[in-house]
Amino acid sequence: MSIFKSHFTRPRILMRNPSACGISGVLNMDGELISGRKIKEIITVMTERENGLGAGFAVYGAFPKYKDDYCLQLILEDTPDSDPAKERVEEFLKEHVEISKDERVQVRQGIFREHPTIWRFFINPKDGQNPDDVIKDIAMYINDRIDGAFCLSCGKDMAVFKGNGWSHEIADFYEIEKLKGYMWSFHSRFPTNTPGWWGGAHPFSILGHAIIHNGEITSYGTNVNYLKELGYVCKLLTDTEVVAYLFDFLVRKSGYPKEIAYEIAAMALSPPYWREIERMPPEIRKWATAIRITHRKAMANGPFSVIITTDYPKPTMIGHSDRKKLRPLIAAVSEDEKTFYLSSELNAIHAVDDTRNFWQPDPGKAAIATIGGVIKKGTEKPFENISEKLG
Amino acid sequence: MLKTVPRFKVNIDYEKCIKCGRCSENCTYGAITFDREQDKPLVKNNANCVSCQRCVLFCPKEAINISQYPVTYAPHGTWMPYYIRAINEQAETGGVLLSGMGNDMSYPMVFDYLVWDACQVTNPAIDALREPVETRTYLGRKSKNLHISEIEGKFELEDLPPNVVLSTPIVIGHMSLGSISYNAITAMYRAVKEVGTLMGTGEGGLHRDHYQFRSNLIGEVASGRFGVNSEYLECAALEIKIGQGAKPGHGGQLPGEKVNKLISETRGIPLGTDALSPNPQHDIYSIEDLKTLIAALHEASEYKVPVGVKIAAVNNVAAIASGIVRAGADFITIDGFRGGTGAAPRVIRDNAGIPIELAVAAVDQHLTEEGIRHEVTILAGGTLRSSSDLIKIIALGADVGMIATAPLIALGCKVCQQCPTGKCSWGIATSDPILAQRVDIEYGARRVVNLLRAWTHDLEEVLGTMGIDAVESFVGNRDRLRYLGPNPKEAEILGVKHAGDRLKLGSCAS
Repeated sequence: MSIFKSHFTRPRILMRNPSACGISGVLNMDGELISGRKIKEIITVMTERENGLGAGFAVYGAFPKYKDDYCLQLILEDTPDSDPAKERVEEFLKEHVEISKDERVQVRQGIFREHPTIWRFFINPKDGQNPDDVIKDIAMYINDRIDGAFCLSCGKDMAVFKGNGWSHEIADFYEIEKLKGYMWSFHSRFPTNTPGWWGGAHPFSILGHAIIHNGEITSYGTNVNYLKELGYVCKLLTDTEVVAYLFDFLVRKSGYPKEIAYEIAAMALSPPYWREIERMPPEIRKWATAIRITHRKAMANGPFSVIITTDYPKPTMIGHSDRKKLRPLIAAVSEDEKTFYLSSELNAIHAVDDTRNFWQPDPGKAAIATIGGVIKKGTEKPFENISEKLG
Repeated sequence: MLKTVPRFKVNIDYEKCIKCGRCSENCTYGAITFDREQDKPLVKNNANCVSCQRCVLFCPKEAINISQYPVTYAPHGTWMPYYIRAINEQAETGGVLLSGMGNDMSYPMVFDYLVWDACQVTNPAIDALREPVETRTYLGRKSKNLHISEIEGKFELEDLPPNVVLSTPIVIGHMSLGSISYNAITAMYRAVKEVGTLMGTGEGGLHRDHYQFRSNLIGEVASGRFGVNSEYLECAALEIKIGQGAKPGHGGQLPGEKVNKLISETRGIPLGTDALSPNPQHDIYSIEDLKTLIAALHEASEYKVPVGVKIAAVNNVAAIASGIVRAGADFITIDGFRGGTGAAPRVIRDNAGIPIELAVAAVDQHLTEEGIRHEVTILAGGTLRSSSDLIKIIALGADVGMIATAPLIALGCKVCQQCPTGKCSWGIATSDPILAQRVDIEYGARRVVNLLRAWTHDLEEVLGTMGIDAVESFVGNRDRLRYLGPNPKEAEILGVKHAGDRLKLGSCAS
């Protein structure tokens, strides 16, 4: 008789652990709040796409009481030879902003043997500078200069929750079922090139934008140089942040008209091939050529699919992939046309909604939905819906 | 004259020789002559041999070889033959030693200390044979943002500053008619036109025969201003030459005996006069003067073409480049200290300037820190020996690599460094119309086209293995390079991590 017990099910030790990250996002296009309980089902389905070294989520509409304040959500870790990190952050913040409220973020004990403190400040800039720029600089300063403090997010009426663990652990740790929001994005991580650490989990967030990412940006070095020129500091040990900053620059900082800013940003990140541009009608070709030449260093190369959630200029969710579509991304709308989904895999969407209205956005094209409805399915030609607006 | 030992020895195997005389016909340096009395070629003077290999390759019987002259200098670690010969030459002539091609000293080659990255597991490599990998590059100024205005509910896009499309990020550097022959320059002009890239005219102006190539030429405006006329301003781009890698701080002289009808027509100077390019541009004694000239060229060319500035890679190249961008240049050409020349004082060629690898990395990082790198195109050259050097210089921060010695080698050059003598046996570096016939324009053009295409294919293949499908995502992407050399300080200046260094900050991931 064999000394090994016969297995009728696959033995635990042979559990497959394939490489990939899982990303998903949900937007209620009527702006109604969705409970975290439903979200948890979506995000814990794609276990094949994670390895327990990072997960996180972003939620919009979480703080109706403080929705006009910037919510600075931080990871704090005290170092033995300096003042507590929280005191140093608070001292710095008091110099530059008004603090309306600050609080410890409630977490469930017993899930992680050890975990950092999560703290949030509701703040507003003091003087008449561009408040978005002030907050962006504050977040970058904290990440760059204040040891033991790491800014998870700094947008209004939104926050990012993330850490080192399996998706179900992170969901339970942050008590996701108690949260409500009209827009959610969630990421489960399979880190390869950089260490798994709390700050390194996704989403990455700046101001009202949060980004989750599956893939690898092979143009990272070039993008970082471009961002350095534009005043962004890349310090987070990952390539995902460059997409978040590029996006912030292209849709907000550049000052492009809101109607076409998303189109420009998506095209700059994954421009059409030159041979496709040559075939476009002359008016569109002019725009595509100009975008590609001017923002040539914003092009994100390599395999990726990303979900970007933003509240600028209004709550919007964007799914976007590289122009060869080397990472999966699927979009769906519920049968009642109220809810927009994006996900790496259809099964995550079908975990909560049996909708038959789903599709694959084209390579390099963005699927965009906002409060009010789907703007682009990602299957249109460039500038298709707004070409009559181009002079 | 105090005799010195020749450098080379020509050996003719008379058992194989059929006494056809091709070797002596082809030898332009007077090493081999045909002796009518003995009815066979004779090695007349080994001291004249420069090892151009013309006789070796034209002998139908493989009867000739060239060896280093079999004499051993008394061993000395300091007084090596190079110095002894130079002293002898200067003691004999009392003059400055001239030399051609690039720096021939064995300085460390930084390119050889760099290796690049490739995709494994976490991202798929791209097969450049089956999927597009784009090499198109735009030369010219880029604005920081698109300028969009809303007029009657429609968005109007302002035209971009003038840019020239290159099908590949390789251009051929500046070589003037005069420094190289009519046939050689025509072959290269044809090649860049066919490939869809650019070549520099050098400072010698543009012959009327070559006006057809203007949309593929960068018109150089050098200190002598030779041939700069209104028709010349219709080149695809204009470039003010401040310096050249082989001779930073030095101008140039084309002696009167080389100024024949062809050259005099092209340069717009009388037959037989010396064509002297002053060391500085005498209307540019400072950066504000440069600004004026850039503005004047923009104005004269009706803002239709990019105007750039070429400088030699010198100590302070980064700050100089920054000034040039702020003075309004649309592109900067940086020429490294190994860059070639038709004629330069050897003492300058072999010692002045810094390597292009360090210069480009410094300029790219400096302009990035100043937030202006994005606005300009950087062209860099000065001994890109192979496609690997090209790939590395792009990753170090150049938009476009510039080659000149390589296409000359494609035309037959053997780098014997005799360019200033005008005796080039391959018909390249000469103004002698008979010698020039040795370059077959059509075949030469084909070989240069092949070279440009082959390097472009190499670039596509390598980008594919790095998971990059457009070259603009590789410009300044130092993250994909690693340093594998002896000097960590060098790696620091290059902004490149050491090979094997584990990821700490700013690495790729998901």
